[in-house]
Amino acid sequence: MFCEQKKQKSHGYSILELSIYMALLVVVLTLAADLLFGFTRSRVKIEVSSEIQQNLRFASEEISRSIEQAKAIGSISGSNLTLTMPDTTSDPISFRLNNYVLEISKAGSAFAPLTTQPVKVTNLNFGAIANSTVRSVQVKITIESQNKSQSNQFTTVLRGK
Amino acid sequence: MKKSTGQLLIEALIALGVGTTIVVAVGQLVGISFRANLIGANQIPSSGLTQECLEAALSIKTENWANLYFPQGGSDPEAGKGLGNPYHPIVQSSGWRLAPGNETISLTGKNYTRNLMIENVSRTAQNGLGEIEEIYNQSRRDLGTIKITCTTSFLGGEIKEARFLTRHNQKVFSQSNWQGGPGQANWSDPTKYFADNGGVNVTGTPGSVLLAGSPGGGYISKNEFLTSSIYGINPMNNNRIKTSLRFSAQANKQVQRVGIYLQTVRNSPTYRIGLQADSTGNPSGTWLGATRRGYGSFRPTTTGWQTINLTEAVPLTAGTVYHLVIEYQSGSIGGSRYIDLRSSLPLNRLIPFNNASDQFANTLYYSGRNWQIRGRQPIYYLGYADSSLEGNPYDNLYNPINNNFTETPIYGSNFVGQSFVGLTGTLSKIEISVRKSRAQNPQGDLSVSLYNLTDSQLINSGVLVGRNVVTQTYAWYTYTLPSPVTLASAKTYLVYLSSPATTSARAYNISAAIANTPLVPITFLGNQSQLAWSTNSGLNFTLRPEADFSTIRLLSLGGYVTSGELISSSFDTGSQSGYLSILWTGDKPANTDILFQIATNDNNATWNFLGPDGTTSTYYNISATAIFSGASNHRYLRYRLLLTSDGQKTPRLDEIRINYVL
Repeated sequence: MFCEQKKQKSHGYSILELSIYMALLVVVLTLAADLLFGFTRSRVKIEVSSEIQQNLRFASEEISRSIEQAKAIGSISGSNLTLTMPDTTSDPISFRLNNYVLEISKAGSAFAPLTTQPVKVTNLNFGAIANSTVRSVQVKITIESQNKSQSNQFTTVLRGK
Repeated sequence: MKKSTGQLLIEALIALGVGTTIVVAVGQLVGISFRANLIGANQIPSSGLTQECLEAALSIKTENWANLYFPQGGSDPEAGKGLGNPYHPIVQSSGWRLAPGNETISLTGKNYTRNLMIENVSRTAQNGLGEIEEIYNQSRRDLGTIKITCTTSFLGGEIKEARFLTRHNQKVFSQSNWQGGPGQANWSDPTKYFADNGGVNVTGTPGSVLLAGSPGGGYISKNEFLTSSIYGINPMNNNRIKTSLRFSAQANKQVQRVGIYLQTVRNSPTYRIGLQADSTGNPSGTWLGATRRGYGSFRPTTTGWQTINLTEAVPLTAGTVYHLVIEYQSGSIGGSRYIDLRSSLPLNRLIPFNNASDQFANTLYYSGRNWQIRGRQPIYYLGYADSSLEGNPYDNLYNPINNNFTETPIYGSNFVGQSFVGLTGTLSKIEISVRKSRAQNPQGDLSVSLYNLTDSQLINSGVLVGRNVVTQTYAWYTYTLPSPVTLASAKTYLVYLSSPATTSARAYNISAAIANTPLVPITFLGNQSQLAWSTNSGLNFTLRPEADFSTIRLLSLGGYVTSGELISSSFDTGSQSGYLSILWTGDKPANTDILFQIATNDNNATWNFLGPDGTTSTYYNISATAIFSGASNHRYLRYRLLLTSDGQKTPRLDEIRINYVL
């Protein structure tokens, strides 16, 4: 009789155990869900930032390299820049802002985009700092995507001859 | 089967702990990723701003090196540089310029702080040669290179980048032909120059500059140690003031005692006097001697010569520049308690005994802040261990006619001259520097006579200068003997001046100088030459070894003038250039010298010729010498060439080169 009673006690959880277990499970599931949402949000942010940074870096390097190789400033006005290049195969090089896309044209070819969708170039400004001895171009650029934006400012001296 | 009836609570807690650990780890990974992304987002604009700063420095350097090399203006290459002097680039007048301090730039709502530092650079060799040194050494400063460091900082990090900027456009100015002669103000014909101030010969040896004259002759004897006035150097009336008598040693000997002449003595405190080496024209600040005690003390009570024994002997090297430095030691000093040393004018830059050139002779005065050149002839002597002497012993003018310390008048029965003994050679010309004492002309011409004192025989007499020719300032006049006179070393000769028809009111004046009796060995030719005068029209002459006629030359046929000077045309380097070094080729026989000074400016009009220490009293006398840094960053350049000789030989300049960078 005693043995039968002991066996009966080891069947399933007690109501107290079950309650504690359920409560812990709820806490764990809540944390996991929150983490999942946070992680997803961060991943989206990082992806957007990376997209902006890649575009900003690529555009800056392309513009800077072109200015450095140029031997003269053809024309410069706001978001438009035309450079006279020493190499006829790439002369002239022009940059412009067309519908939030930074575009480049080499040797009179059609303009091609330098930045990729969905990022938008919301500000592009070229400024000449030039006198009879030395010429440089100051560039200010802002790229935006999904309400995030980043800017860059740099100057490059023309070195082409 | 009966035992596997559900989990224990402890198992659930362990599972929960493991799960939480995983959650925290993943969370941290996400955080790091997010932070890395944030820093990456700042790096692009920081790099861009740093690159802009470096490009601005490059632009400034290309446009005008001086704007970068002298960031605060002026001409001190050390001013305004180093890590304690931040600048930032600004756009001004269509170009980049520097402004002091940091700047804050806001891009997309984030602030970036940017600055630029400028540091001097030295190399392993002088004149911009060799490799850049890790630790800056001012003595090997490269005037053509600087280090620029641009830093852009943001919340959580910074981008720093350094770049060496070099005035890479090094050029050489060279001239090796002067046959075109003078008259060219601006450099265009490489054979011409601007002016010669007499004494040079640019055609005798094509492509070279020589002293005027011809070989085969020279000076038999000369004394050009003019003494026209005496001055105190500066009252030493506070404990910071120092005085220096600068000189070039004439012998390799040990100095045991020194002598100076005190112009003023007022309740004197105790002063210290000793020898110091030269450091770029000024005293080094360290006493010479084996234990650095090459000095002595004195507390004078009377004016005149003061002899001071040094605590220990100081060995000198002939040709090396030294300073005899006097400074306060102890006792009360002030406006009524001080001394002042005597100096004389003009600055002859000669050693009186043999007229040897001493281009470094001068007096200097230390005000408590810096040394200043006084431009006066030092009066001093050095007493060597072998009892011989050296220095300038003439402490005053001497007028034997009136027996006072003024110029000497020649008129009526008062004849004045100089005796010589031990001279050999064939005397052809006599040159003497005199002046008239009044604006009115003297009544008679000035005659010069050559007299054999040993045999009481007048050899020749003639007019040195006509009464209508002589000027009121000292000028050299030449009398050419009708036939050359061969001098015998055993005979005493007398050269004297006379003008019997002239009255005292319109007398001719000459300058004679006097020394203390013990110093006669270092007066002009020592005892071999003495001042001579007669107050009875030459019936008899009095000779005095302590005194000498200041300006007299005896010449044999041929020979060279003792100095010649040439000023180059203005060389336009086209920009505010940096001047690195001066080099030349030629020949310098014994007792001759080739000396240069350099002047630079931006207006092609104001020419201030300076030596390697930046003063007018020094010269570039060694080829391949670094040019005084203050000459740099000016557009126009001229050089001044000074050739000197004892009259026996001439130096020869074949080519001058000046290294500069645009």
